[in-house]
Amino acid sequence: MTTARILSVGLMLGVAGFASPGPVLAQDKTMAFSPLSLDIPAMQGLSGALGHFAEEAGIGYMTLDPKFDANTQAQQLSQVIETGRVSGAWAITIGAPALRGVIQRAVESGIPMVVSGRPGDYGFTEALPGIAFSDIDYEAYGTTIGRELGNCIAERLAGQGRVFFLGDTSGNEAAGITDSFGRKGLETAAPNAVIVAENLAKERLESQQKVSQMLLAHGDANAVYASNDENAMGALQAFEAAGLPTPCIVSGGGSDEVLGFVESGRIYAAAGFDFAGDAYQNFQTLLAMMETPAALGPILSIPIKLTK
Amino acid sequence: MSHDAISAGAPSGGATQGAATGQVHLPLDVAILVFLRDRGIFVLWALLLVVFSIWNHPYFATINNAMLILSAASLTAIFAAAVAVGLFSGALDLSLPGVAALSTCVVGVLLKQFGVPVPLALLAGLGVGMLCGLVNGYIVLRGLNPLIVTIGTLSVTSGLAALVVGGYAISGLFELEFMGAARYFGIPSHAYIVALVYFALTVFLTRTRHGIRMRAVGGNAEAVRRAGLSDQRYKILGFVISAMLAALGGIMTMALVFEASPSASPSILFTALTAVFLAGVSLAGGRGSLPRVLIGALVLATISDALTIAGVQPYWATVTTGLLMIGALVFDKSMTEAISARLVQVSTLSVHEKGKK
Repeated sequence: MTTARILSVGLMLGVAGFASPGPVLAQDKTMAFSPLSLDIPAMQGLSGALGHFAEEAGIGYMTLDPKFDANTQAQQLSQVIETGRVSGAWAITIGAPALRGVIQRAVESGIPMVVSGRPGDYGFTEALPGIAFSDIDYEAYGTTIGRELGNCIAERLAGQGRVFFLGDTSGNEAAGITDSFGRKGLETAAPNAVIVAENLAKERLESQQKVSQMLLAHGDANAVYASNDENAMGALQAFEAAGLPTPCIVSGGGSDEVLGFVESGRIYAAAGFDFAGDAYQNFQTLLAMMETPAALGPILSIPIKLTK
Repeated sequence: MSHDAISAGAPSGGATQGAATGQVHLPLDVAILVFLRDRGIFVLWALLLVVFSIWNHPYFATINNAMLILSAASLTAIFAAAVAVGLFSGALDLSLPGVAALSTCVVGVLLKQFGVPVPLALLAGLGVGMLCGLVNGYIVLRGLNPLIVTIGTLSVTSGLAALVVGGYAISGLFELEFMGAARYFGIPSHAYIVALVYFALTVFLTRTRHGIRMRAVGGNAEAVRRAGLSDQRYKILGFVISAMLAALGGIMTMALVFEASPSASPSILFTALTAVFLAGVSLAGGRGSLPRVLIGALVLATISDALTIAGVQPYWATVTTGLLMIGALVFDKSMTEAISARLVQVSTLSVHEKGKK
């Protein structure tokens, strides 16, 4: 019983801790930001930047964390929009169709949103009042990664690339588009390159282990298409551990660590969406739409940042 | 509606029996302890609703938000029912996320690539779930550990799901909106499905011979065998119902996000397990109440909803869920021990009183 009492007191103290009103409650207007997941350092940074913008603009700010789950993202956004808790929201969409209902209700409630993609991704045929679409061009993204890998193969390997293809692990439609256009980009830039093995890995260690295993069967591999930073780092470590020359590696993403390796020449290039650069544009758009939620929202575009 | 092995109405040492009615009367303090153990989760939910209504005024205590909580709890409730039915029959089925993914991918492919009518595709999805349950059940009956077997089938079903859709999700399944984001009379469509499933399962588990026997197998398979009944049939039945519920949960998820994803999310299982343990379902099998599992799912959805509306840092939601689960286990154990201790005390006193007479 003593343990139960201690836990009860702990829970009450916890609730009391939450109950202390934060800065969010003090504002007339509040915006919510729903990233892919706060587990991604880039998303944490973006959230911090938005919080800063909101503070400067004198509005409240809250972050949601759907943890890569499209349904959770829809639920959380519904909870803050339909209750009138926020006056605007920005979502980096995990699964566009999942937010169709949320967007419809946001339009009905006159609460503006900035969402990723195009109207068609959500089953809409045209622009909507108070909804700005921030288009993520996965075709261009995949093409850029593939093309840069092809360029590396052409420059350093005389066009004779034997490629490990570490595809996008998210399993959603965007992943399919990115990978498909990645292959096309590679084929265009280095027609003689051959993908000798494909695999999926989410983490660095997993990527390292899988690439090491792939090297047993394909010791002549000399290039890596890495869908994310962790794949790129794991692949690089696997090649180094096997005592092989540094391969052509192009990474999707572009964390500080990977950019450091790009600078030192051990990774050829990194391509990623410039979310940080895009943040201010989206924030200003949302702020403007909060004033005139009945006006048709614009269709924005997220630039792709290439570092090589 | 509770159907615990020990309940306030169960005969016990020290309890008095009404001569006219034949009902069993527990001492007041024991009855209170039993009430707290068996109905504590209802009290917890009521308390949370009051606290959150004050804290998140005026956003929380609205009909609209109640519907949002219902909607959010629905998926957890279905997966929690899947876990609970498995536990009632004596097995923790870890393959549920994989079964859900495989079923949704089959439905997605049938709808998008083969143009199969929606009802047929949905039936096929449930059929896939049934098949997975049968396979799990038959393998486990070979004497293998259910945990290990279902980890294996989790891997198999996840891989098959990816193979069925070629590795990437099938998107744009808007024809399923009627059972996704749609609301009827202002109530989310999911809530109707959950109500139907919980009503049917509760009746099955508490009012039918097969349901009661299935729980008996989970509680004490040896006793069921000695009674001349086939425990194997009921173990398989547990796996089949569990897997079909997982398939239904997967299909409901798909209807919400309009996407058939091959990703088997283990987080579904952990959330469902939390709801099940909050409801006091025994890992050892046999003991537990399905309506309490539903309240467990509602408690989790309520907490998540309130923290989201309050704008509390998201990490706290994860911490709170973990704390609740541990707290529920400690509370259940403390109550059970207190009840046992008190009953022993009461029965000892009764013996002495009889001796004096």
